[in-house]
Amino acid sequence: MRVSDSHLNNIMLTGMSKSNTELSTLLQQMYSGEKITKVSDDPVASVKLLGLEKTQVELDQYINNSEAIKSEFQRYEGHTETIENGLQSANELLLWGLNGTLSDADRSGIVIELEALKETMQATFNAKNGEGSYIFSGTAIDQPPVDSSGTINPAINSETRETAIGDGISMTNNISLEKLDAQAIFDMLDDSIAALKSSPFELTALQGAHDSLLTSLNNVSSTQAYIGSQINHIDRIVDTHSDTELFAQKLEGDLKNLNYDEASLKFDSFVTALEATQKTYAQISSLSLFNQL
Amino acid sequence: MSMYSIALSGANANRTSLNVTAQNIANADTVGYSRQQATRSSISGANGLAGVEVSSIRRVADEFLISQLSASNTVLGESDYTASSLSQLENIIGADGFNLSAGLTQFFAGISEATTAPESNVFRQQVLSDGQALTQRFNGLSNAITAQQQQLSNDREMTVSDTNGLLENIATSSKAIMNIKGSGGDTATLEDERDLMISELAKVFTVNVDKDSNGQLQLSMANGQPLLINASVATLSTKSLDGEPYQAALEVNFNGQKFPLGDNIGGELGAMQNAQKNDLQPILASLDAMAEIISKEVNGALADGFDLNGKSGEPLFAYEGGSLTINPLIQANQLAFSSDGALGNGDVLNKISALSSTDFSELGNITLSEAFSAITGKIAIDSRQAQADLASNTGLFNQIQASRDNLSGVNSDEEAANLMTYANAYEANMKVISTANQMFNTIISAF
Repeated sequence: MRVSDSHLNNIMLTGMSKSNTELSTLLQQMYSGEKITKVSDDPVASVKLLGLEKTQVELDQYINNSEAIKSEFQRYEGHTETIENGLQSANELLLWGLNGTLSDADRSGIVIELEALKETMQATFNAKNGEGSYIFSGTAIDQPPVDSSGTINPAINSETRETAIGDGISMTNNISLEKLDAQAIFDMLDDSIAALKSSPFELTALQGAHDSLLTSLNNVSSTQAYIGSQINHIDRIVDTHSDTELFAQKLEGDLKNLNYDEASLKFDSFVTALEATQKTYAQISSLSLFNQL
Repeated sequence: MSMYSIALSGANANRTSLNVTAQNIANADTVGYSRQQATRSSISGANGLAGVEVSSIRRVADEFLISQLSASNTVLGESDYTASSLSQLENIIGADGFNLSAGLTQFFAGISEATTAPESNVFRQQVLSDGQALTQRFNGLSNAITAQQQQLSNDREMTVSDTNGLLENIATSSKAIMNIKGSGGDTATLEDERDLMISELAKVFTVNVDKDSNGQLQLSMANGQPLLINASVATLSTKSLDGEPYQAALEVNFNGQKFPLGDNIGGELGAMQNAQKNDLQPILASLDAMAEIISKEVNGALADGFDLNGKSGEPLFAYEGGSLTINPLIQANQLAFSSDGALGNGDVLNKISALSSTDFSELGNITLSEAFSAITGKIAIDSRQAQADLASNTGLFNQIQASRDNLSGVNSDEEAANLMTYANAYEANMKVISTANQMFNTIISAF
C-alpha cells in the first residue's frame, strides 16, 4: 500500500488529539471527584441524580417540619402540664372544701387559692409562641383565647393547621382550647368559688363542680397522651426519613463519585500510550530518504 | 546527428520529470494538492529512432474518491455542528445555577416550611426570596438558551453569506478551467483548488456534483434545486418566519427564480436548522409552559386567599413574554396564605405545596420537576448520540481522507527516490551527448 506523508501526519494528529481529549476529561473527573462531567456522560444517571437531589431536599424539609412541629408540641406539653397541675391543686382544694367541718374563713382561703388558680389557667390558655401568636386560638392566632373574667373569646376557633411531614403524610400542628375543654374548667372554677362563697355553703353545688373537675382532669390527661403519641410518631418519621436520606446519599455517591484507583490506573495507561505514540512518530518522521542524499 | 537529438530528448524529459518532482516536494504539505506524474512515451521519426517525449503531466486523482470525500464531509459537517451545539446546550442545562429542579424543590420546601407558622414573617420572607431565586433560575436558563438561538441564527446568516461567496469562487474557477482546458493548458492546480472548494461547500449542505472531462461543472442541492450550471450561479437567502425571531427559512435564487429549501438539507446548515427547530425551540416552549403554570397556579391559589391584613391575595409571580418575575410590589405580609382570613390558617400553602406533585396536561401529564428532568434527559441522550455519530462519521471521513491521501498525496521517500533516478538518468543522457561528441571528434580528426 502506498502511504503518503500527510496520511502519516493525520493518523498521528488524530491519535494525539483523541488522547488529549480523554486526558482532559480524566483530569476534570479527578479534580471534581465526579465521574459525570456532563449530563451526556451518563444520561440515565444524570436524570436519576436530579431525582435524588430533589428527594434529599424534600426529606430535609420534612425533617425540618417534623422538628418544628415537635417543638411546638413540646410547648403544648409544657402548658398542658401546667393545666394538669392546676387541676390537681384544684382537686385537693375542692376535696378539702367538701369536708363539711370547715369554717367560713377556711372556705374563703380556698376561694383565694382557686381565684389564683383561675388566673394561672387564664395565663396558660393565653400562652404565646415565639412568633407572638396565641397557641390555643385555633387559626385565629391574633385573638387571646380567654379574657380576665374567664370567658372564652368567641373570635377564636378550633380549626387545625396541617403541615406535611412526609410524602402524603401531614400532621396537625396545633391544639385548640376545645380539646382541653377550657370552658368547662372555667365554669367549674366559677361554680366552686360561688358554692364556697355562698352562705349557707352549698355542698351539692361544690360536689357537682368536683365531678366536673374530675372529667376535665381526665380530658387533660388524654390530651397529654395524645401529645406524647404525636411526638413519638414524629420521632419515628424522622428516623425513617434519616434512613431514607442516607440511602439516597449512598445512591447519589454510587452514581456520581469517581473511583480514584481506577482513574489513576487509566491515567497511567493514557500517558504511556501517548508517550509511545509521540516517540514512535518522532522516530518515523526522522526516517527520510532525503537524509541519505 | 540523431544520437545528439535522442540524448537531448532524454535529458529534456528527465529535466521535466525533475521539475515535476520538485513541484511535488514543494507541495508535500499543501492541503488538497494532488501529486503529479510525467508520463513519457518513446517517439520515432522518419528513419526510426527519435528519442523520448513527456506526453502528459498527469494529476493523480480519483474522481470517485473526491466525490466520496465531499459526501462524507457533508455528514461530518452535520454531525460536528450538531454535537457541538448539543454540547453547549447540555453545559447550559447541566449548570448548577440553571437547575430548575433544585429551584422548584427549594421553593416548595419553603412553602411547606411556612405551614408550621403561616403568620411568621421569617417564613414569608423566605418564600419571597425562594420565589425570587426560582425566577432567576428560570430566566437565566431561558436567556442562555435564547442566546444560543441567537448565536445559531448569526451562524446561519454568516454561513449563507460565506456560501454565496464560495459559489461565486467555484463558478469563477470553473470558467478558468474550461478556458485553459480549451487551449490545452495545465489545469491541475486549478482543479485541486476547485475540488477543495466543492468539499468546503459540501460541508455546508448536501451537494450533487456533476463534472465532465472538459472541466464543466454542475452543482445542485440534494432535492435538485440548481446551484451552478455553466456560468449561472445561484445565491442563497433567508426568509424570516412569523413569531420565530431566530429561525428562518432558506431559499435558493437561481436565474431570477426562487426555490424553497426543505428541512433536511444536511451539512452544517441543515444541522443549524435542526438544532433551532428540534432542540432549542421545544426546550424554550417547555420552559415557557412551566413558567406560565407556576405563575398561573401560584397566583391563582393566592388570589383565593387572604393576607395578614385580611385583604385578598396579591399575585406573587408575573409571567410575560417568556420572562418570569416576582411581583415587585408584594410585601411579605401581603402573601395570602389564609383561606378564611384567620391569620394562623395555612390552607393556601398546602394548596401551593400540592402543585409540586401535580401532573399538568400542558407538560404532557408530568410534574414541573419531571418536566425539567425530561428536558435534561432528552438533551443528555441526544448529545450522547451526537457524540457517537460524530465519532463514527469522523472515522469514516478519516478513512476516505486516507484513501484519497494515499493515492494523491505526496510521499517524500518516493520523491527522493525519483529525484535520484531522474538526476542519474539526466546525467546518463548527458554522457551520451558527450560520447557522441567524442565520436564526432574522432571522425573529424581522421581527415
